[in-house]
Amino acid sequence: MQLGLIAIGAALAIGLAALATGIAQAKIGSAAAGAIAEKPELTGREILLVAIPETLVILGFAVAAMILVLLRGG
Amino acid sequence: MLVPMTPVQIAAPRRQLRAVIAVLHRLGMVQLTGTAGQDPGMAPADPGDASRTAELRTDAADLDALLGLAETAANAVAGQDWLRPATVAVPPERLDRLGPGLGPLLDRIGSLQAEHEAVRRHHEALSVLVPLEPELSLLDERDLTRLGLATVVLVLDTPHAGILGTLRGALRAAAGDRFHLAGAPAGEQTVGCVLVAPHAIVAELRRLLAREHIRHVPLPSGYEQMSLAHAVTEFGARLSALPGALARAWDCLADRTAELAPGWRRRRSAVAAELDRLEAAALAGRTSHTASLTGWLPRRDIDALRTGLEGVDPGVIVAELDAGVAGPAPVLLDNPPPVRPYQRLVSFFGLPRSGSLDPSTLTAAVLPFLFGVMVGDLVYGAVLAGLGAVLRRRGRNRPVLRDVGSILRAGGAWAMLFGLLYGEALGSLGHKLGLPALWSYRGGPEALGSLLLLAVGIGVTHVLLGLLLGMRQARRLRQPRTLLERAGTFFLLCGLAAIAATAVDVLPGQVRTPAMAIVAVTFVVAISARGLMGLLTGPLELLGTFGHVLSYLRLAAVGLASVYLAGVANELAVSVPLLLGVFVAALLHLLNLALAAFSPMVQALRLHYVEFFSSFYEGGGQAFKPFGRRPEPSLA
Repeated sequence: MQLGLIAIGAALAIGLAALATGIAQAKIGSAAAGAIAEKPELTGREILLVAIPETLVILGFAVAAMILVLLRGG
Repeated sequence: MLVPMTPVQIAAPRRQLRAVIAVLHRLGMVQLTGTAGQDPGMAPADPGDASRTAELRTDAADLDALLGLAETAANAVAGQDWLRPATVAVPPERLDRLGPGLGPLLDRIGSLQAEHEAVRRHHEALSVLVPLEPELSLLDERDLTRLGLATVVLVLDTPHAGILGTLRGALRAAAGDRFHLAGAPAGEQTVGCVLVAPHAIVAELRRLLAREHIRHVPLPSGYEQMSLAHAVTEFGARLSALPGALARAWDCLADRTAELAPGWRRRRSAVAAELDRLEAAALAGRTSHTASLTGWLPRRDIDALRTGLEGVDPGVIVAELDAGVAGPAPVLLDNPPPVRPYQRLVSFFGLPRSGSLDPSTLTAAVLPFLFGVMVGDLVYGAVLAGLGAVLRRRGRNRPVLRDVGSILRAGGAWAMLFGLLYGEALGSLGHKLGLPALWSYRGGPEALGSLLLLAVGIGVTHVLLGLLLGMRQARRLRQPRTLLERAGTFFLLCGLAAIAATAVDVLPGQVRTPAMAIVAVTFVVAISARGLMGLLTGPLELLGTFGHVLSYLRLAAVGLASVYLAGVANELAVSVPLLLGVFVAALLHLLNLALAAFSPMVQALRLHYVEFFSSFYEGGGQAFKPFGRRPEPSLA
């Protein structure tokens, strides 16, 4: 039971972070598409802005990975 | 590498200005900046230049419109799209001069298209009446003449079928019951109707339509006297014949424009060159006897410029100016061929400022490596490297495609190397078939920890490299606070890395105490370098740096996602009937390959743009645009 809950915790860590990243990137992406349509020279910077929120999911992955590593170690 | 630029002033006798500009245009090595208007004592530009410029701009617009027409005609013939508009925004007198014979062809296509639209509407409107009035539709002109009747077929330009009631009422008031009117809506905006009545009633109908302002679409001449059935048949036949006529007209137009297009392109280039020269002349400063131009060029080309201008006049002087007064220099990147594709990626982010560092070479060294760490599969790497080689060969005359091919080829090679280190070929398939992992198999249960450590190790190294470059930059620009801040962050990170290394027994325990001391001291240095506000913002900035290091965990995350997806594909292949399994596995591997080509590249690029460049990169550079040279097509 405890093992299952810990696994669910790891899944939630990355799942919720991915959800938050998706929500952020959806808004940034639609604004970026509008900006690029008017000024194609901004493409590079817009890709950058869209990619920035991915840090959230990476940190979620890091937490999930730590939970799994500690779980294995425990 | 940023090519060192120098500002120059070119002075010449005024009568030689045009010759000097022609030579500069041919050499294509100087970016001109404005001198005109800087000194109130300077003479104005030549008066004829403004009108000539306007004339040339009109010519350029006309030629662009004609070249657009040539493309439209070719597309119409290729796509059999006969109804696309055949117009060109060139006045008739200029069209006759630039494109003899095009006017009548365009008129012919226009009239055929208008006829097609009219015939289609009529056919649509009247076809609905034939089934409503089958006996009426069988009457021909002879039958009607014998009966003393006339048929009027009308297409009313209104969406309201109630108009028929209005017409019926008005006709009843004028002629009693001596008429038959039938009609029905046809299409969204038309009502078709047919009236059979004595000739006098028909005349009254026409007067009624005019009086009541009822819009009707007159039938084309020749159709008015036909019976309903005959008119519908004739419209149908004409509708079938019109596409053929349009096709022949478009073919003629496409042939004629293809014949004239090379001449238009040559003329357009000549017009563009003359416009460039006139615009350059407008930038020149003049006195009554001399003229001068200022600009920027690569320092290595200044002798070639002097040599090129020698033949114009012995009085032409090229003098180097002081860079401090000439403003910011434009930026020209010049790297060896293996690095040039990555130069395009750096430009994507924004050109580095003049005098700062060009990170193209470092990007060329690290980006394919990061790509390889993430993909890390022998088969995927081989496919991507092969695809890159093919794109490179196909892109001989297409710089963007060639650069994408080069980057993919290098990334694929690194992916193959890491595939050997991880023991992966098509994910877990290599491992199952006995491919040895020279380092550690990623799909195994013990791999996560070592993979995370690898990712963090790469992140620490890359961020430290960025900080080192930032320190070098700050020292060169004589920015002591920035230098202190970056040095403090650099050694703080080194200290933390040393402490972490002692925790996993990579370094001996004796290193821990000095490392902690370094961390404490450099923390204070890094914060105090920012001044009083550093007490508040310093810790946040340092947290940002740790965040940058942790961001490299995506190397592990993206790589593991690829491994697990490949593993799922391989498991599916064996858990369902063989053929179906292999088919599904192949599809999943293709999907994984497509993701492997795109996602690791974007992630590696993002790591460069955000985590690496943030420590040293200074953007805002303006591209060097030499007078006389046409720009390369951009990625956008």
